[in-house]
Amino acid sequence: MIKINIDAKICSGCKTCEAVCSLWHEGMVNPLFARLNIVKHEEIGEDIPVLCLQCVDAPCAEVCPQEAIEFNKKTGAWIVNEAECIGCGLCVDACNFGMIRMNPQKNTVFKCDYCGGDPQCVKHCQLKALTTEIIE
Amino acid sequence: MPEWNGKRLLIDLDRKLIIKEEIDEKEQQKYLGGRGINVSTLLRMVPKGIDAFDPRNVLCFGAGLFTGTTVPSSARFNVSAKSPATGMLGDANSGGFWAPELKFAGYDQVVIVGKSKKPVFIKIYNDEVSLEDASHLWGKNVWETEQILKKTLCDDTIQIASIGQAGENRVRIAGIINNLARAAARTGMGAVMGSKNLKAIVVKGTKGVKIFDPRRLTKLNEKLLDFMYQSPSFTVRSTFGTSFLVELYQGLGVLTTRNSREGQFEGAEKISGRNFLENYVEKSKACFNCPVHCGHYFRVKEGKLAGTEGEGVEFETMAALGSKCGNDDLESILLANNLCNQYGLDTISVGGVISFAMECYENGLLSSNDCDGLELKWGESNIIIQLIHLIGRNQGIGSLLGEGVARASKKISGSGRFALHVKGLETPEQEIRGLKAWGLGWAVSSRGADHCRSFPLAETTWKAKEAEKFFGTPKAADRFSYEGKPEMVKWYEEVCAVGDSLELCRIAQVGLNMPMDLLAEIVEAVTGWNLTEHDLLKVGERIVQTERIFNLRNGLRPIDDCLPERFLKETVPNGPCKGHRYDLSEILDKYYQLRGWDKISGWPKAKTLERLGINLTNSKNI
Repeated sequence: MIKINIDAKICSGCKTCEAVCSLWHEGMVNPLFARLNIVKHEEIGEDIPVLCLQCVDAPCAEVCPQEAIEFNKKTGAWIVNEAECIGCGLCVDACNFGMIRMNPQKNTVFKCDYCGGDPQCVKHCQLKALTTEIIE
Repeated sequence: MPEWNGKRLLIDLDRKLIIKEEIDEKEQQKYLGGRGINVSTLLRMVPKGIDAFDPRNVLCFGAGLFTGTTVPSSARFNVSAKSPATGMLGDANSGGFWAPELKFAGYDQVVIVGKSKKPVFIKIYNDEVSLEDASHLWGKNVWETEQILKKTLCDDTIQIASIGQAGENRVRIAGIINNLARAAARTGMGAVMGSKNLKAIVVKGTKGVKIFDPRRLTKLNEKLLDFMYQSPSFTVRSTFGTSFLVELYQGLGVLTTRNSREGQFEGAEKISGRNFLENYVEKSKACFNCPVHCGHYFRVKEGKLAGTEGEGVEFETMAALGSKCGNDDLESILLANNLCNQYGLDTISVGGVISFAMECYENGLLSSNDCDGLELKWGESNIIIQLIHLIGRNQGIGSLLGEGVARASKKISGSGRFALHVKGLETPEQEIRGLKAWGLGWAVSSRGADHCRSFPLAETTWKAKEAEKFFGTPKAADRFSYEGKPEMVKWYEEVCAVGDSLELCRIAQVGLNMPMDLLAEIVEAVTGWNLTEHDLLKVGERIVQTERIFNLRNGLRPIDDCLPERFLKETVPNGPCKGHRYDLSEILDKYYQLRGWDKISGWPKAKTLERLGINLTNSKNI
């Protein structure tokens, strides 16, 4: 299993992670569909990467009436099974971090899936503000 | 149909009309985007002979062909219009996050004509585009404007390009600022925006940018990133940004000092990138999708200016407001940088007019009576700060200086020899008597004195053998030699024009050696067009020639392709360039030959235009 660590102090705020994430998952560059966000406060020079914590007892999975959010033991990510998702949005309300969101075109939710174990955001983070760690 | 946007937003402020149109695919293939599409639009739409502040002037915001994709360092946009500084092509370029947002909203270009009766801002939320009242924003600086707009529109993630008081006041050295500190600064584009009563363009886009072949693009990007990371300059560019140039230029004796009178500055160490990084920088900052992150967030922690913080500072600003004004107080430069961003001013031109005024003062052409009681002595950082306030507010001596050195020198008798400009644009921070290719680049640049139109790094960074292979003589790699420089400038101009149309950052594209053949492949992956390296360079040549025609039609004469008297007549008094001056006559002729320009009229040959497919029949500009 992996875990993504964040060092907000060195993040340059370039949003490359958002760009490559959306391209990887949606085939287009659109930060709206990125699975993570860089929250920027330009007036104080702050850039904060916000991404799914892959909670141990994930509230999104717990509230899902379809049990469509499944834990992948290999990667350590909670994965949305789109075929099972009915777009009720309970999970969207359950997540305190806004890290599971609705795709209005598909009427299903989307969230970070660690790109199957090789997260694109980490791979393209030049300053290593995002890094992966292998955990048990 | 191409897979990406290819859309233009046409806004008529007189009639409050908003029109969306497809950009002709042939036009895009000929000019790509950004700077290229902008000049093609200007040539078609700007009536000949109008004043830059005439409502009929056309203000274009062009994002690049690569902007908003995953191609690294491509987040830029060009703002173009007839320039109030030069009366010819006005064109400025900025990074940040504004241009990608415009692409995400579905547009490549915004073209604005007319003049609003009342102050307005343009709001672009995907397909919803509207003109909104901006009376509450008029008189506010850029930082206040961004804050108020984010608050009233209840969204922190909108992107804003706006003018400060300088643009409102039609100060001819005013720029347009986005993301608080990214500036489309040169050639007075902020003043044109102000003359249209347009305060800001707010963009929010959630439609995204489609890519013809995403998998191929991802692979090609990896290849491109390898080139960038392997470049010997990557470490210094990504750590110091451009600020390392203070020390480098000092060593070469090309650091503009006291209005380019000297080539070395005794206070260079104090305003160096090293001092900046060690004592003021908190972290690196980047534009959208850029691995170079050359920007910095800085903070002054103690002393008189404690609390001064912001993003920057570029070398050009450090030298313009530092050595060029004899100022060795780095903290004052940081404050001056912020003030310029708040008022919406071009730091290069601000440094240019202040150093001009200081030299006039030294020579008794300006007295403190003329200058609101200020004593314009070299290196007085307080004076520099006060002058920036006066220029931004268009008050007192500031209203004269804000006109730029060319106009100001006409009102101060005997000051012509201190007015450093080409075609009306203040000179940037190279001592060209020791950098001959850069000097030629200034003289022939389509937007007046400017370092980014040609950016001939080969002169100082290439080995003699390499230079011989490329430019026909090993002397091209000698910065004091004139040989091979016309060839070098011509080639770089075309490379840079391509870069400005894809909207690649100059530092990444030229500074880190992005290969043209790879860029051609990337164009294909993004758009599906089949373009070769040769085709791309032809686009570059086409843009240079189109800009030339725009300028010729707006009064350019061959004698305007010149350099300020100082560089031609005076020798550098100190440092490694001691004793050198600039002799333009020989290399200018050679450059004209290479471009196919007539020596008397300055016009390109009909054959050249035909070869490049430049069509002049469909143009208001005749």
